[in-house]
Amino acid sequence: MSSDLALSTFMQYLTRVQVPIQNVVFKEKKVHLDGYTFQNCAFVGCHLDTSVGNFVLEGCYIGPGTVLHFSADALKVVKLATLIDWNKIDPQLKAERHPDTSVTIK
Amino acid sequence: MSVDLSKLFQNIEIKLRGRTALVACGFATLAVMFWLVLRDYAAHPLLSVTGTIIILTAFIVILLAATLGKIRPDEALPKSAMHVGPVGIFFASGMTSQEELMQLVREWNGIKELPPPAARVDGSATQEKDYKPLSGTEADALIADINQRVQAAVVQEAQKLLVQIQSKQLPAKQGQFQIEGKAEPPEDKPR
Repeated sequence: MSSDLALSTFMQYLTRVQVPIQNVVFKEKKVHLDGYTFQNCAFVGCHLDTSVGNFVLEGCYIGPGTVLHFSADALKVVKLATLIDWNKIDPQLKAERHPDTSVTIK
Repeated sequence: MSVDLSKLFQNIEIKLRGRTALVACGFATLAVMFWLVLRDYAAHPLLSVTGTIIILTAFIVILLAATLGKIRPDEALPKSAMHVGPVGIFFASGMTSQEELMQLVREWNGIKELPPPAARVDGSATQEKDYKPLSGTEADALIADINQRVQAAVVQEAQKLLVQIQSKQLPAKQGQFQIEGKAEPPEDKPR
């Protein structure tokens, strides 16, 4: 049995932790998204980083100059996603863009 | 009952490196010196007694240094979680405290500390006019509050994990949580 499978068997006892963060603005900072649920938050000129994809964005504003950075498992998902034909994609697979330009990803 | 020696040797692992190797070399040298001292006891009794005292002192010093010395990073017990076969026995080795389980929870969730925010949103995050700038002290207080909530969530998760582990614990070596999972009955077994 591979060690990855072994680890996942052990990890069945762990649930994901997501701490809610509401109504804050990050400016020109490196923000690790994993482990948090951001609600009505703004990221301006930030470096947003995810490695496990364990995050939620609810009605958040991704401002100009913000850079996304993916690593570890999240990077593999992004690489896989580059194979998708985005013109024919199911809208549910896309980030939800609200009329007020805020974004929801959950 | 027969013992398959080839299988037995396959499962024997000797790790002779770092401090262990140094201690082993020290003991080997002392053993040789002790043998020399004993061999020539008849010729130089006083020298042999002095030599024995020195060797014993060196033995105790090496032993104390090896056991009481600080653990270097490369000597830290590796942390791992393993699952063994269909019987459902698995264990997390090297995890000796709740502190380490908390570290595991943090890594599993990819949690890292957030930077201090620049402002608070009083309205919509898309409207810059709704941003209320925070002073350094206010930002630090906000981050401290967030860190406290993160810590509480991590502790809660680690405690849940510990309860799960302890409820299924088997006799295990020190530094190991050995867990017995529920073995599924074979489906195709005739009743």
